[in-house]
Amino acid sequence: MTRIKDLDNIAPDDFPSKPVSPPKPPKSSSRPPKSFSYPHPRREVYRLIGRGRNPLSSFLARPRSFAFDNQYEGEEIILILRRHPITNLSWIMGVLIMFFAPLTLKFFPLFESFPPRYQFVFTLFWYLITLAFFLESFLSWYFNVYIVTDERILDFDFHSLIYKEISDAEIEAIQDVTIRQGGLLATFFNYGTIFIQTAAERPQFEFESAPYPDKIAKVLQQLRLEEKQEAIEGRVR
Amino acid sequence: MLEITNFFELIGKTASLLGLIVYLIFAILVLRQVYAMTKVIASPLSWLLRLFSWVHLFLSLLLFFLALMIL
Repeated sequence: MTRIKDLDNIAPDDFPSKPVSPPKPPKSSSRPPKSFSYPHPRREVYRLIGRGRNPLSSFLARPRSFAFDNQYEGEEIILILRRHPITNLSWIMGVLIMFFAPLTLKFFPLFESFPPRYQFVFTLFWYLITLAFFLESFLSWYFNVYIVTDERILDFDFHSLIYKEISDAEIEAIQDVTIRQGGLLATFFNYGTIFIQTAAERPQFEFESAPYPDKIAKVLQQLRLEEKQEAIEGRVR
Repeated sequence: MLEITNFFELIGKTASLLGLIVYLIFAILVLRQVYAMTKVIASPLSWLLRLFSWVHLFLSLLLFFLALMIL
């Protein structure tokens, strides 16, 4: 019996391997490579509030063209809140009554004893007072705002024309948020007062007659969570 | 009789002008306050509010001079 000597033909040890081609260079492309980005930390807040554009809104979310005194560098305004517009009904009615009041003088001649030129000046003076009342009431509504930023809550109070009070508290100092909503109008138009207990110098903030109180409470809760998260991750500003 | 009428007219005119002077001071106060408010909170409507307060002051001045002339 003859033995086969060419053992490599029967059971080769080395399998023939395909020639390895050199790695291909990356294809040149005009588009830059996609970079991985983490989700924005306030994405949930942005989703809740959207973005507002009307400067007369009482729930102005993330306004682009608003700024306030002593705003930190890079501090973002999340919400600007005012009293619900329906709360202006009383003074608007007052302005309308004042506007049409001189017409009733035909039926109630109070200034009949005065010469006509006096009556003319009195009437003009009355309209000037009406204009001042309108201006004063509007300014009071427009500038008495509550601002929520990514760092603080602020309360701007302008009482009458000669007194102002500005308070602020850090978001992390907020301890408790309570909503009080009651009454026919408040329920119908969805506004209420939000009480915010803080560990700041001013122990309580009140956002009076603010629209969408539940949404505001959610935003504050979310911002508090984010502040805690930032503190844990060491991203505290 | 004529002198008494003149006397009452003088009182009426003085009282009216004094009232308008007080109102002028108030209008200046409104203007200053609007400037202070718009400085604290800058908004897209700031210029309009300032304009409004200037118009208010201008009308107050106009009424004062009108009263000075016709009363």
